[in-house]
Amino acid sequence: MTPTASNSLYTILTFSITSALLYIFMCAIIIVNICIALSSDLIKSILLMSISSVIICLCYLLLDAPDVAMTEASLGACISTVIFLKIIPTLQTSFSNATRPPKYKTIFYGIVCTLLAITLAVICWQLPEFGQTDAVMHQHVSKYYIDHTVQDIGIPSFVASILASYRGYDTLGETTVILCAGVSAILIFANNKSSSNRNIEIMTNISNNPIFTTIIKIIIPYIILFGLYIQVNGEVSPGGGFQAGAILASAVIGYDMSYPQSLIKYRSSTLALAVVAAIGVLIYGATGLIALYKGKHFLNYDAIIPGTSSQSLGISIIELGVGLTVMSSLLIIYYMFIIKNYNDVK
Amino acid sequence: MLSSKLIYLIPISLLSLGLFIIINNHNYIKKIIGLAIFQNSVLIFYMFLSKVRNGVVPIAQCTDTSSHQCEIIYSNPLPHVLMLTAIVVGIATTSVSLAIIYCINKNFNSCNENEISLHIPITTLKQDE
Repeated sequence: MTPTASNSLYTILTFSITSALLYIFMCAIIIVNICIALSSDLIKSILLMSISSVIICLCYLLLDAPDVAMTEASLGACISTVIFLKIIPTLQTSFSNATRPPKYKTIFYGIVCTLLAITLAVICWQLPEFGQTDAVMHQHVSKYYIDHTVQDIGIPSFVASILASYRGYDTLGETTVILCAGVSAILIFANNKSSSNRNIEIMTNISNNPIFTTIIKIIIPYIILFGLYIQVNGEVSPGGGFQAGAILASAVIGYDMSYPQSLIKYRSSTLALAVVAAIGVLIYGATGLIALYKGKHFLNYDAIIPGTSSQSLGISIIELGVGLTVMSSLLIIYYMFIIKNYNDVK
Repeated sequence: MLSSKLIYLIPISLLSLGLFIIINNHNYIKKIIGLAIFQNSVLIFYMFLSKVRNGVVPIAQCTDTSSHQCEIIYSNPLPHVLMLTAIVVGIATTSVSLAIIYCINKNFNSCNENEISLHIPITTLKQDE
């Protein structure tokens, strides 16, 4: 009797500590976002957005979602900040004196947004309580996934099983969206003739900074190792193709920022990366087609090899495809912004 | 039980802040930042819904499928999957929108909404000639 009582007390205490930490972090996020709304300097707001992404990562960890925290850390805090910072020097306008709407309009917009917030708060009053165990959304399909994953799929990670097996169609569509984003970045930039006689202020090149280059040299192997680890172990631990692709891409981007053009030459590599991204989607689709060929449903991994490990094998293959596509598309987007900077400076 | 529902006010205030940044600024990059905040608020809202009291990270801890002895409460894994892919797709689409802003800046020499709206009639006239 006593161990269970102390156990329940422990869990209640843990939950209250989690909630208290969540409130603290969330108040920090709101303060940071108010700073973004008030600042008229773009670089400042981009860096503040990166800070808020890092705090959101901690919140995701507290909310039992290490997969989402990993994705947010590599994409929201790292890659999106780099891409935002790369586009700033190519833009001509000076942002410090960017015209703002008149004051009465700002007050009017503020009132509208406050009214929206009040309306949503009234609606949210009917939601289940935070952390309620018997809420409706935990009862039906999620309960099925949790109860049947170990028997049906044979892997411990529920997130990987839902992502790759139960809802494989969704993920195929999302991988295709990422490929389309990379290809459309190439098309948008290729269609644009560079205009001459413009003065562009280049930001101070980070590759001249000895602190940055030394640290990059030390940590890059570990980042790549970590990316490969979560790519391979996506079924048994937090991780998977999306996170691994983003982390590997951020490793390459970091190396490229410290030693420009030393790893891959931009112009020749963009086409190769586009081909690799397409191959990733092709691996995914071909895995589905194998099942179709063997007389099962599309993306039913039971058909790949006979035996119980077929599902796990299929999930590993499509995670590889997702990882290739995500990594190449993010690198294409980064390189396209770099190439544009390079042309403009010339 | 007032305090447990109070936490939903945080994504709501983030959402209205993001909307305020979108409509209050003329600069397109600032508008994209507002859109990113808007997106973050929706992601946080879903993650709040997925949390279960006393739940643990959704990775199966008992591999023994036959027995029903291990009754571990897991947090809901379904919103995790949806939000994980939403983050990746969101960054990809944000990058495309930044590329389009780059094109706008090339053609109009500005990425402020009010300046571009002044330019548009003139350039269409030039093209007609």
